[in-house]
Amino acid sequence: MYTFILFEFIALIVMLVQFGKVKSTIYKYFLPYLIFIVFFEVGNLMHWFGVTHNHRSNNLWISNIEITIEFVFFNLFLNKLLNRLKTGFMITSLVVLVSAIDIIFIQGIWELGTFAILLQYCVLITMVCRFFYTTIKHIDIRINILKMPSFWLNTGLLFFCLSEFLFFSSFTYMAYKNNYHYLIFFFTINNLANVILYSCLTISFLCISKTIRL
Amino acid sequence: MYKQDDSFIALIIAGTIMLLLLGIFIISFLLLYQKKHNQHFIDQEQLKSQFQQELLKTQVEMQEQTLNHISREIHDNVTQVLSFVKLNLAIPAKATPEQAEQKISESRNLVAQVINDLRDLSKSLSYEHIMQLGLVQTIEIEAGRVNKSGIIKVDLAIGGDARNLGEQRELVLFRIFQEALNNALKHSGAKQLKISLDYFDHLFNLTIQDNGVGFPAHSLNKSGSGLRNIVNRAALIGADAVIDSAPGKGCCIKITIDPLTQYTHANGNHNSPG
Repeated sequence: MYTFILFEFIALIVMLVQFGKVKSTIYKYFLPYLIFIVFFEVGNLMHWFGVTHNHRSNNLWISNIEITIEFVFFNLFLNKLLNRLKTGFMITSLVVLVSAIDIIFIQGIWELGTFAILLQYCVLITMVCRFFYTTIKHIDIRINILKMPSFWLNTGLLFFCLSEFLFFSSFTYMAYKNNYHYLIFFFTINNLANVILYSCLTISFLCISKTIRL
Repeated sequence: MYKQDDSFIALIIAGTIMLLLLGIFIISFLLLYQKKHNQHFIDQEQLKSQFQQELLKTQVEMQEQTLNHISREIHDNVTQVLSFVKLNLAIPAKATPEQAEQKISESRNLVAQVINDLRDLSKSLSYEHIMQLGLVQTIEIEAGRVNKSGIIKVDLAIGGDARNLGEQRELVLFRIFQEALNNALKHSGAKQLKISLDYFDHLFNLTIQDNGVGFPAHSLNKSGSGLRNIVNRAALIGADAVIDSAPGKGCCIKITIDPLTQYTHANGNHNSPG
């Protein structure tokens, strides 16, 4: 059930090993991000963040924060890849504001802010598609897409968002009913999506050579 | 209630599978697009290099032809006339001053003729000449030279406003003309050769027609490299070559090109209505 933590850990190790090559690129920001993610997942596993609410231990409040940070990181990173950081900041700020309204005022901090998550995933999927469109437009014989770190990063992110999208859209309706089958499927898909994302990130770090700036 | 939830879960799974398939489609499309793009690029590079090679070959062939022409001219014309001048100038001691003066005068005329011939020879048709003079003038000079030889009568007609078609195109077109002329001189037994260059807004036609023995349409594929070269070279510059011939009806070679289009570097094909 927690196989994905292993893949997150592998991605972190690869990042540490490759850091010499990565430090001159924007991929260096993955190091603090991965440390944060691994810390969060281990903390979740150890129940460090569980807060008693309505006589139950609840860690959804930190999941809301973690998912929003994840969105901010990936959205800014993709915008930087596409050289549109200013627009990226504006979109990110707007989405974070809407997410905060959803988490605090609409769904509540003790429940998963699924509307916010869906909005964030929509933005990320759009950004990934935009990246692929730009890649097609500027395709070059000298560049092998399969050796592009950004290709693997975007591929991982695309599959991650697409596979989790419908599960998050139905989360509010199904998860709180404690439907056993739904929870099993949710954890399986969540596990698989994370495995895909962090495997792709690992490949992406391995593809980075000293000559690649992005 | 549980049944309803189960069908809802099935719906979500199906939807997720669809979304993942969409993701697979996007990635596959990207990879296939790159593969096709690279293949297209490689093909284009190969065609370009093939084009350059053909062009080089054309230049070398033209140089060879020019050298042959010069060599023939020196042997058949200049050497003969100068030998005659030498004989003329060997004035016997008993020749009268009037006779000597006549011989000298004859020799002067012969030397003047040789100078003219050499001047013509220096204007002989080289690659640089086509670039300097253009296709029309170069073909005019070549037609004049052939007419002068008296082997065949060449009629040249120029229609429309002549303009530059591009150095490489003109070079290849001239080479096609030379090839057609050679074929007419060597194999057709023709007495007359009609050449027409027609310049339209979006079309250029080069027609070379002889009244020789011709050949059956089916022998076109088996014919020597001359006619095949014409077709291939035409295709090289994005032109269409139509070779029309029948026994006893001469041969007509028509090259059509749109001067505004890019070179295709494609393989040619030939037609013969036969």
